[in-house]
Amino acid sequence: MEDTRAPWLQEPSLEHAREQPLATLEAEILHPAGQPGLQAWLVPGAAMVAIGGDAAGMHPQEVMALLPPLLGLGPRHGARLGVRTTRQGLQDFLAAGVDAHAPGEEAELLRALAADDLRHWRVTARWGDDGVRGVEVLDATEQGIWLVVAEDDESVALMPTTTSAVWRLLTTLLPFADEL
Amino acid sequence: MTSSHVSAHQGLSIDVPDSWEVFDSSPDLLALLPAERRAGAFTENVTVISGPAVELDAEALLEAELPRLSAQLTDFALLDLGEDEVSGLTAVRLLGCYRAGTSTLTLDQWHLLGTHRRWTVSFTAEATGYGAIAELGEAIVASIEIVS
Repeated sequence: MEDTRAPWLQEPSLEHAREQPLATLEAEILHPAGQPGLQAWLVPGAAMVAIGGDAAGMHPQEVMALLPPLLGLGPRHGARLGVRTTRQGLQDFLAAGVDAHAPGEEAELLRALAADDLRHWRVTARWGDDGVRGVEVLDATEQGIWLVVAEDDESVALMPTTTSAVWRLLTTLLPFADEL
Repeated sequence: MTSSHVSAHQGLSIDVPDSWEVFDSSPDLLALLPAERRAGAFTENVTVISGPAVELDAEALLEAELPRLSAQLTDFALLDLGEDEVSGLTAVRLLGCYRAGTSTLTLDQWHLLGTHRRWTVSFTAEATGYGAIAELGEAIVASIEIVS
C-alpha cells in the first residue's frame, strides 16, 4: 500500500536522509556544559532531527526554526571591544572566568563578563564530502555577543557583532529553499 | 536596476527592482515581490502598511507590537531590536523568525513614526538563504521617501 504521508514522515525518506544526506547541521552548546545540542540530516523534502535523545522527522525548511530557542538568540547590543586570545585561553575563561592568555585590557573585558550569563555555541553545516561551514559564538546576553573566529590552530579572535549578523550567517549555512 | 514607484495610498515612494512587481491597488497594503515565483514556495516580499500616527514613542509602539506578533505568528522568536533611519525618520527595527506551514520565515521589520502617519515596512523571506538577500531587502526599504 502506498505511503501517502508527507515525505518527512516516511521512514524510507528519513533513512535516506541519515544515510545519504544532501547536508547535515550540527548545533553544539559548548558552554554551559550538559545542554543538549541538535543534529540534523537533510535531503530534499525530508529531514531527520535529533535533539538530545529525541529524534523526529520534519520538513527541512523547519529546521531553522529550532535554532533560536536552542541557542538562546535574542537582541544583544553590549559588545564593543574585540578580544584576541588562544583557544585554550577561551576554554580557561569559560571554565574559571579567567583568561591567562589575553593581554591586560582584553583580560579586563573578559573579567567584566558575567560568567553566569555566558553561552558558547557552534553550528556547523557539512555538504557532501568536503564542504564545511560554521558559525561559532560567545553570547554574554546583556553584555553583548561575539563571533569566535579561528585565526590559526591556536589563536581565536572574539569579534563584536549583533544577533542580526549572526542570523544572517546561520541562514546561509544550509542549502537554499529551492534545493530543499 | 530599479524604478521608483509612488504610492498615493501609503504616501511614499519606493524603489522597485526591475524583476519585481508592485501591487498597490488596495489602500490597505503596498506589496513588492519578484515577478518570477515558484509554485508552492514562499516568495520573498516587501510590504508596507500605514495608519494614523499614534501618541506613542517608538519603544511603546514596539511594546504593543511584540505581543501581537507573538500571538499571530507561529513560534515567533524575536532575534534583534535596534534603531535605523528611513527617509529621515527614526525607525524601530526588529528581526524575528516564525513558522508558516513547513517554512521558517525571517521577518525584518521597520516601524516608522511620522507626524501624522505611521508605517510598518516588512521584508519577509525564507530563513534558509535569507542572509544572501537581506541586503536587497534593506536597499528597497532604504529607498523609501515619505511624500505626504
